[in-house]
Amino acid sequence: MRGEGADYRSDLWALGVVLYEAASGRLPFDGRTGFEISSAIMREMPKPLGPPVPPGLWAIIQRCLSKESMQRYQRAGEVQAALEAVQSAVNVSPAPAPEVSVPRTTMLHGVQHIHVKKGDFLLLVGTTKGAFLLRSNQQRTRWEVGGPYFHGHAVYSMAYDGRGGQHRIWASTQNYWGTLLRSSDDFGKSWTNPQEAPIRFPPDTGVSLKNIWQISLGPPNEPDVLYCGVEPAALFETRDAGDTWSLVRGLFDHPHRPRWVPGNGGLALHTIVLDPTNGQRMYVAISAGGVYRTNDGGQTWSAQNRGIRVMFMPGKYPEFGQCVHKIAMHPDQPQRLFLQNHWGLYRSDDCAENWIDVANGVPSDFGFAMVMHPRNPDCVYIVPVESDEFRCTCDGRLRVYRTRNAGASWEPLMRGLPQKRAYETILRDAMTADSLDPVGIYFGTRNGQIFGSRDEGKTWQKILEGLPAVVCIRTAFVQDASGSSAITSSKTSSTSSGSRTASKASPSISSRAKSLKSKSRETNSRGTDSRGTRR
Amino acid sequence: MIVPVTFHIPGALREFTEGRRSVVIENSPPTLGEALSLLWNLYPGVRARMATEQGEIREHINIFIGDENIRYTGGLASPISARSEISIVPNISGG
Repeated sequence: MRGEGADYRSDLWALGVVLYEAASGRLPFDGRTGFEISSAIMREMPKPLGPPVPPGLWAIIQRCLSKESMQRYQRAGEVQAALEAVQSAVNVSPAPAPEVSVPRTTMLHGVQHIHVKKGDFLLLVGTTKGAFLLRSNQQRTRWEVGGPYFHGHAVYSMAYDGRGGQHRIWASTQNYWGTLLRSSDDFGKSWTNPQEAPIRFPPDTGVSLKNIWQISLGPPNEPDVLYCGVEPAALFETRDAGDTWSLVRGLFDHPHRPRWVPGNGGLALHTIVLDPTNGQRMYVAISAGGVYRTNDGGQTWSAQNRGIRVMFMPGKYPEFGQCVHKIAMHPDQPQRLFLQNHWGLYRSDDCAENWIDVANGVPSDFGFAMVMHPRNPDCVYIVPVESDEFRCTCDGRLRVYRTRNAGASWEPLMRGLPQKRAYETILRDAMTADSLDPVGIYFGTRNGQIFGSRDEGKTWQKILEGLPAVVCIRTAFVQDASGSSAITSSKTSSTSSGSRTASKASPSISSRAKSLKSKSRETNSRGTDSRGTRR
Repeated sequence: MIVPVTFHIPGALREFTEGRRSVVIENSPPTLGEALSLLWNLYPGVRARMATEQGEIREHINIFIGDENIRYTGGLASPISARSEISIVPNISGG
């Protein structure tokens, strides 16, 4: 159907159709015309079969009906063995609770939930032992705390996706059972818990997913596009709002890749920056590999590290191998980037062709987090830490540093922050900015404290303490919780919050979002779980 | 002779076995690997959590046949004896 060759696995797909009809009395793919049926076969998954169809049988049918022949059974004998297993299996434990028979969405019980309404402002907090959601209004003074979600799982990346009228929270979870990308359309009351990890390396790579370090939204007018940066270092992309993800081969097959080396946190692609004026251009940062750029939508990538110093290699200015901790861009000046290195603060004025040192007046140029002001392209926030050996705030004083002249000078911001025995570490995604006026800046520490400023960094308040180590903070401004008009999303610390604003949802975007909703999920605005299944 | 194999399912995976604490597979396979594929065909959510996408048992997941850790009995090729009880246990790790 897609112009690819047919083989015996096409017969196994056909067997899946027969099994589906035998089990349910209806055909798996429906449509009024031949074209509609063809389209359904190529793009859609059949309606899930619940009881009385045994889940094992449904699993076999799903695998037979996989779109990719490599994901189907590879031999008829395997189908036979699987069917026999279903037939012969005897389950000797108590009968299951009916609500868990389709384990795609997990309702969280015994967890404090937040109650979000129009105009609310949220902080999404990922820690090494779970996630939290903090709710406030635009004043940002009092906070209702939801969570912990995903007890005991490390949540290294979160994102709020308000494009096209949706309000979806994304989170990655990692523990000894593996790494999953999950989402919630009801502000944390229920989360997807897919049977198969949505992000996984293809068999021929021989590589397995360790962690997801970054979830980045695609352009505002393409609400189905998202990117994930993962460990081991690789980029994944979805064009169907997260239903299916594919490895970006152009980067994975880069000849430099075998010579990238892991940093203290592993070998990760942790930062993704899109050029808002050029849909073909994207930057990624890899520890330790450096900055890579594509100008052709991900087909080819070049190392862009000229001028960035390396302290841990004999050659100080190699083509690649830099341990870049964060890069940031303002959407109004996409040719300019700022960079926090493993030692070194840099700026590029030419799309990362050349980097110049801008560590002017900072107590240390070692650090992790780097955040753009959403409206001032000359304004950047960082939190220097003392050294590679002692990754704590300098002299036990917790100070954010800000430049308002693109790195020509930096000023300390400390009012309200502890200035004695404050040995804190602020990790690369543990700081972010909102898009309100005046701008709010937020950061979390490895010691589990969250601080925030409602006046662009002039004064600070402690928002929460006693959390597990904070690895990620993001913000969301819920302009309309019913999802009918624009929602502002402030997404990452590496790209400005303003850059991802779906300020006015165009008709085409809205209609796409509607069709998306009706296709694969149903969410009701009360936030109860009615999504059913998702692939 | 039919020799059933019993899998003991840890709490974290019961969401994917319809809440079942144990799963008995009646047609006894000769090795652990084959027994696991039968279990995984029944409950694919269990496969993704026990094994990586490359089919290796995850680093911090231990499997016991009786009281023996399969790391020392041949891994997935470990033979299964009559009425084997197979336990799936996450390792002690982390801070």
